[in-house]
Amino acid sequence: MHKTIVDKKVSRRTFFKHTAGAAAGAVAATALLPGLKETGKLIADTVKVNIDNDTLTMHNDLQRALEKPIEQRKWAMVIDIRKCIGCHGCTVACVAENNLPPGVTYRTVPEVETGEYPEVQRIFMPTNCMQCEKAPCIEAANKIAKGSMSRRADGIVVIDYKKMKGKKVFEAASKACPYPKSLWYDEGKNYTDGTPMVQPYEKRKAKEYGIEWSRADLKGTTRKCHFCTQRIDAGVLPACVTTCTGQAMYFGDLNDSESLASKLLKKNKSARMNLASGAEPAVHYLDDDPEQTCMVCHS
Amino acid sequence: MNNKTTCEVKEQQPKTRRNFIKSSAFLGGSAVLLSQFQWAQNLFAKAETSTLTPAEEYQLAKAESILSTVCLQCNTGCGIKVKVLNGVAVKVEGNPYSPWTMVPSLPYKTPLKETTSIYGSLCPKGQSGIQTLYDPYRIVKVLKRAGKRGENKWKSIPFDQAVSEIVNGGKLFSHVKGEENRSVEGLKDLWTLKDPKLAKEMSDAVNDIRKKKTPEEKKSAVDDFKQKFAPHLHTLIDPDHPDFGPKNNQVSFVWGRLKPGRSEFINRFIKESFGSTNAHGHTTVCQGSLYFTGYAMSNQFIEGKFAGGQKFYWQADTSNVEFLLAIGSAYIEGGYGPTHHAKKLMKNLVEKKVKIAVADPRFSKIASKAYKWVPIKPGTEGAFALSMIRWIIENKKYDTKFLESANKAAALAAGEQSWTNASWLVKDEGSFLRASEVKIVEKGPDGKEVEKKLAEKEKRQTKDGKQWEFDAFVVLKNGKPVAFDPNDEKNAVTGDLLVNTNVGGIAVKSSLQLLYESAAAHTIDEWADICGVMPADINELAQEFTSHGKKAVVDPHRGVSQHTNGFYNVLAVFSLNALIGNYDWKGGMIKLATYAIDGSKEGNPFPIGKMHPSKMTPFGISTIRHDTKYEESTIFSGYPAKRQWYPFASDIYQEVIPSMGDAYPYPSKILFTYMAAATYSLPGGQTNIEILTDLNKIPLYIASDITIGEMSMYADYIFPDLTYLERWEFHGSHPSIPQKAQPVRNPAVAPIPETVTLFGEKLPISLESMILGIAQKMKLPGYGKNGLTEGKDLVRPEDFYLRMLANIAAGDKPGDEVPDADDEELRTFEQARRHLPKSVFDVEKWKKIVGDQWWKKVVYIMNRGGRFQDYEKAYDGEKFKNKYGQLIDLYLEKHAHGKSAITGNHYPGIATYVPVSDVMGNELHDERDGFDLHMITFRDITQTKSRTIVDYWLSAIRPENVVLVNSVDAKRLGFKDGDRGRFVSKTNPEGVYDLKNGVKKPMIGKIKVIEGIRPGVIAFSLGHGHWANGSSDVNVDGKKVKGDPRRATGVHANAAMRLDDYLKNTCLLDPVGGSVSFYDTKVKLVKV
Repeated sequence: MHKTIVDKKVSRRTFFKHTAGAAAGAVAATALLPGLKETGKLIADTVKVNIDNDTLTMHNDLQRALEKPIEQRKWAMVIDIRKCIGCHGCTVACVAENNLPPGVTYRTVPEVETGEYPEVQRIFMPTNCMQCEKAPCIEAANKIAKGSMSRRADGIVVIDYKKMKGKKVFEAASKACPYPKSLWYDEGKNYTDGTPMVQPYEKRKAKEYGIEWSRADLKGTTRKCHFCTQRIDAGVLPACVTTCTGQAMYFGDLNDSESLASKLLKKNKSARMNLASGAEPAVHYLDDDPEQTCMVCHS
Repeated sequence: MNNKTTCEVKEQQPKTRRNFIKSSAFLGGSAVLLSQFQWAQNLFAKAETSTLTPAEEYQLAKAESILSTVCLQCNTGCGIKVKVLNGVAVKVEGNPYSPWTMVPSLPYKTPLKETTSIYGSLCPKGQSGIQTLYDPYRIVKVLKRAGKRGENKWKSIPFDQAVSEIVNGGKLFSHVKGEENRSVEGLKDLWTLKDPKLAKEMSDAVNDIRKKKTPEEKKSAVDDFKQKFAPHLHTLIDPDHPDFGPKNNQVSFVWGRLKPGRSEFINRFIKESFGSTNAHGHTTVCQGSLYFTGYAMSNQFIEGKFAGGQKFYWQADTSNVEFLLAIGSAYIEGGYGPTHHAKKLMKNLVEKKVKIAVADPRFSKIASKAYKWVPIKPGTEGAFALSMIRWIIENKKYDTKFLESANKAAALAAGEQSWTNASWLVKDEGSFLRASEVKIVEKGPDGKEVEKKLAEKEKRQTKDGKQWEFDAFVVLKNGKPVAFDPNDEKNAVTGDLLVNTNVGGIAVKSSLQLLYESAAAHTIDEWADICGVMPADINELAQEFTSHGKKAVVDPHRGVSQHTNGFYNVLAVFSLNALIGNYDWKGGMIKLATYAIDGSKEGNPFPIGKMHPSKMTPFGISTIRHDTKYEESTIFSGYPAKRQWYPFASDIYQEVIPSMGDAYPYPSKILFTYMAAATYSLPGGQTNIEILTDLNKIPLYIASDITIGEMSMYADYIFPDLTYLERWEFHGSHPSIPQKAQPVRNPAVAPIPETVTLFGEKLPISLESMILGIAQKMKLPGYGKNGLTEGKDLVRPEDFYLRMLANIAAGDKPGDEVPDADDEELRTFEQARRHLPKSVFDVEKWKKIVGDQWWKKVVYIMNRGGRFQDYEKAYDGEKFKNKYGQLIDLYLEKHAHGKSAITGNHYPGIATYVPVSDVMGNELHDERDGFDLHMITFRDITQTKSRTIVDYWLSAIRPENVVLVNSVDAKRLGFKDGDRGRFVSKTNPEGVYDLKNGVKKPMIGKIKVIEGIRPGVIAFSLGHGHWANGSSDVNVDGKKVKGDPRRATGVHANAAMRLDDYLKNTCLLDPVGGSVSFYDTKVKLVKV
């Protein structure tokens, strides 16, 4: 049974304005993944336009965070389920961004109908790897394949695709994970298998965890959401966040109290899934009454 | 075979990769494409062996990897950025300059370099676009039928051979059994009338014939015509019926989704150069009756008549509306986009700035965000609106000041931008009362009472310098008649609103009185009963609607218009909005605004519409009998006519093929279709299949398509087309976008079809090259060297489209131009296109086309994916600045005088509840025969109607669609979740699509038992249940290409939709607005 604990009880959200343009221009990121060069020049610009636009605010929050050493960043995803319309744009954006094969979907959006006609309600619940602070999958995976999973200094749980191969380690990590649909096994298939031609976009290399991988490299690996590390390290918001049609998806640095993600958590009621597991997930859900919403499925 | 050297197909490399060559006609086997992919794959291979790029380097956010263009996965038109790696499109993002994907969008002047890592929203269809581009079932060569129509046997032939055969005709299919001796007429045989001057004279003479009242007068006028044009009678379809027009009209061009740019390109070909009147769109399968209600309500009083209506409609300003009642409008599933609607509404919802209510038989996704869901009975939307109108009028909650304004001056004085005819007086017979009819008694100077007219008729000049007589309209003010001019900007006239009286012996009522009487036809309780809702819901919603000033909207969409009573449903809803005067106000009803492409604005460099050396005036009744009255034709012979006539609508998709089937009003010879899937998307589309397979009804059929589609599989020739990621178009805007906008679609990747040479230019095969090829072969005027005007050729698509871009750059008037791209932007523009071949991108040629004056501005627009006004410029305080700003007709005089060609009955002039019925006016009661479920359709976010099934990322989310059934019905019928049921209706008792090629595709769907649908109603989503488009096997060049079963999943139950008992080969339809009926069929679900 999943148990939900409401993190904060704050009165209803009141409207507040986010002004973009507070942060300075891009400078070099001082600390990235171990072994990475400090170039910084590829990090995106801060956008200096004064419009009330959550995407721009988050973009600028991201540039600000990248100016700090990596260990001082605490990434979190904040999902306002009142605004999720279940469009699945995030799911496909993620598949396209990370060039995921059939059977691998880092992001899913289950949909639940409740009530009886005509008193009906419907909930959409985006879910992905929670990048837990105390991720039980890491230990479980490393028992099978040493060094296959670890946690980056900014909290993102990463996989070493060269080491995390085979069903055994996948199953061990999956079993340890307290959340559904977080880890996926890559069977090495293509969407256009069996058609007149496997298409070129499927054969492209895609970058994850700082490295460009071919499809062949990834066959037999365990796959999961990594908050689009290739994007955030370059100053670009995760694919699910930018594409979200309802602007339900937020991303930011919780160590920065000025980040939109921090502010939203402060001003709204929120919950995280299955806190009882002790995994300390980094994905937060906003709702008027999150506990009740969670209980729809998890009671 | 005539195979001249004007065009040649270049095959650049021999076929090498045997493992995936199934047929050279498909994407998978194209040699041209193969070389392109081989090149790309070599690059990939190189990348594999080279050192890895640094972790922080992210290729996909580099300016030179990104091109801005416009999505077309549905018709919303979101701005997109296409990310290209090694020549291959790999990812699509929202374009932040576009108001569709970012709210508010980036200021237009934001430098490009600041935006490379900023992206707007896109829905899953938009994100999947590259799968439409790289669809393995795309065709790359021209296909010619090698078997019977629909048999799916093809051979690939050279482009030039196809063009020659279509132009010259002959025994083109002697290789097909049964057609050994069949000879078809080619385009040259039907291009009979070529002289624009003669065409104009004939057209004028035909107009004179139409005006004759009696059959005798008509006959005599026809005789005169025949005498006058004796040497030219051979050019006519039938000299006894000159109003059929020339034989040119026996060639039709019909399209599915067509956007500006390509629209002008097609019309230039078929109308202006070839001279056929038969160019028809598909509007009525979308939401025709919404458009044609907008058209009717926007007619202005111009030079003595009501004219100038625009084919448009209003929508809610979802950024600012405070109360939104969505009727049959699924903002976050369809209805022009989840993107911007969702962003606006969800933000305001959590900030408690908007209240949403939904009236819909299905618990739509927007209903899940609403405070109230009213599961209304399908087909009673007009009744529902009228019940609210009754409540509002009786509770005096309407905006008196807005409605009283009878003319422009009064509107301006009241602080309004638009006005209505609510106060205008209407006579019993349906005409407006005119001042010259009203006798008033006045005391003369001598003290004696004299009778005089309220106002004398007044002679005025038309724009063209002709004379016309102005006869003023009349309102009653404080009980006294007052004459007025609706367009008067100086003398404000207001009128009493609820008038039912005698004026000088003439019985008159005000328009609002007529509306009230229509609404008062039933009590609120009776209306509630008709709609299947609670009376309290009506009262509450009417109360709420009138509690937000002008920031409330009742917003209709397909669920309101796609009924047999669609027109009057929409009219009722738009009239309801007029009661609170929300038109042209922030948070109210708004309309779209775009930058013109045709060069019609002051200071625009290229007036494309006028750039034609020999422009024809097509004339004659169209095959779908639109914009014309049956009674005025030479084939009028009382009622019922053989088929319906449509004086108030156009682009009546469901009439195209069935009218050809009935050869009414005249036989057709050659059919072109573009992006059309009528057999699939139309209700009862299976009747189209029967006609398309009849060689006598349509002797020659040419399709432009991307795959072998549900309709093009019945063609004689298929020309491969470019997808939206490889081609030009201007998407225009939609009513819910407040900013003025003109998104520009342009080639983002190398074209996939083969290259041909036309007019000495290399081009990919496409819609444009098909037309250019025909034009070259026939020597049609308006093409080739100096085709546009002296010194301006029309030999490439860019000759046309880049000039349109320059017009957009010029804007509305001098001073409205966009800035020049700076050197850095010019560099980025070229770098981002370095992967494009010369057949689609040649910077020197492009510069030359628009000239130095416009080139940098064109680049500025293309770098931003279009021209977009900044958000705040759409408003002036609380007023909507991109305003409609004219008369809104609540009472429709023209319609009141119009008649059904089937029943001979007049149409109502005011919003009225018309129960669902067939063309004879008979209500349908199939439930009495055991068809106990009311079938409706809906849009799933993962599918557009007929084309997105090719996107595997989407089908991974929803592998098959479902049939939504309420648990009460499921229990009653013994269905469990996951069971399968077959759709059976009165006009499709077998429950199949008969493909007329030996295959019958059963309509069987997976049942999903839910609570969120009105009991008695079932729903399936559109987009699944395909039988072509790569879903079934085809044979090309003697080889079998296996279909993909993933594309054939689910159910498409349009063939179960009710056919009209009188028309027989056509679905139920709205005779006024032209819409097809999607939601008026009763079915049985038979357990499988």
